[in-house]
Amino acid sequence: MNLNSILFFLAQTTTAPKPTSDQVETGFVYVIAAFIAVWLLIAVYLFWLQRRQESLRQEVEQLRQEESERLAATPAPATPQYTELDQKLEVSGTVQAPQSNLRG
Amino acid sequence: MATITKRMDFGSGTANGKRKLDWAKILLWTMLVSFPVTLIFILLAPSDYELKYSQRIFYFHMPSNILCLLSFTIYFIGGLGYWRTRKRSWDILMITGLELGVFFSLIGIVTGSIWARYAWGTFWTWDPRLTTVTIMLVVYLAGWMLRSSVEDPNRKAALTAVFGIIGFINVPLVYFSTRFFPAGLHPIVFGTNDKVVNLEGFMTLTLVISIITFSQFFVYLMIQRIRLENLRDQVAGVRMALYEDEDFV
Repeated sequence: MNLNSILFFLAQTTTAPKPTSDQVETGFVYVIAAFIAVWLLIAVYLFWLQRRQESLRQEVEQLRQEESERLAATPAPATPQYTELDQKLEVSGTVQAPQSNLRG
Repeated sequence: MATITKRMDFGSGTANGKRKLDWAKILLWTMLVSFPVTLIFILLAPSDYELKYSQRIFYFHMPSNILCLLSFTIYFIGGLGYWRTRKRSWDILMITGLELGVFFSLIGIVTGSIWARYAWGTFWTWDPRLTTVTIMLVVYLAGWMLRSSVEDPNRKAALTAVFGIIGFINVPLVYFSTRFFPAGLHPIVFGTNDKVVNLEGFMTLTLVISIITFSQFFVYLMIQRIRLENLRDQVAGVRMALYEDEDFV
């Protein structure tokens, strides 16, 4: 059974009423055809838009997860231990004021 | 993570802890009302004497064509903006205008062909309006294909801007084709002289309602398209941050 015979069989069994000659003459059939075409185009475009958005959202999620996993796996860098300057140990004996830059 | 550009936002989240208005959702809800209302008006509108019932195709055909020209004008403005500033937001506007222009021109061509089969007895004829629309669509499709083939984002945006600026020559040509070549089959709809099609009061009202509804849909699609580009930027941003981390590790 090929595709043509399946389509022929479906066409035989379909119960959709055929448009009357009046409907064709007044252009009613063309209005319906245009209406279906518009909605089909809108549906296809919305579906395409939605699919692209969804795949990008998934990609963002995946990348964020990857980033958080990487951050969790790497050890945090050791923070340097600063101690307060003991003024008594200063050679000059006076606390130095912050120097201005070379240009003054 | 540093953001690449300042994003165009339409309230799809929260700002300072407050929930922002989601314009896409508002438009979606209003369209649930406006689309059936438009359909009722289209069904109730009186039929044309010559074109009979088929004249109702006009209420889908014309708004989609207006929005097609508007989209390409937005693309042109985006192109000029990008050429001046080289900002990503103008690039987003360009691709949005381009894609929506192609989409609405397809609706216009398909509905027009179906209507032409009834009104002129053929699906297609090389009428000045149809010829100029076809040239316009081919030019913009070529621009879109060229954009897709380029990898470098800056080059991609610059090429799109060039196409947007040069291709805009077609837009006034399409609009004025019925005036430049009056022997064509398309009538003049907007104008003041005696050659203009006069629509009956209820027909004009139906057309206005249809244009408003289609415009709502257009704005909704624009928001969605801009969000798609924002998502693309987000992906690029996260990826960049990830690779930066990799470099430091």
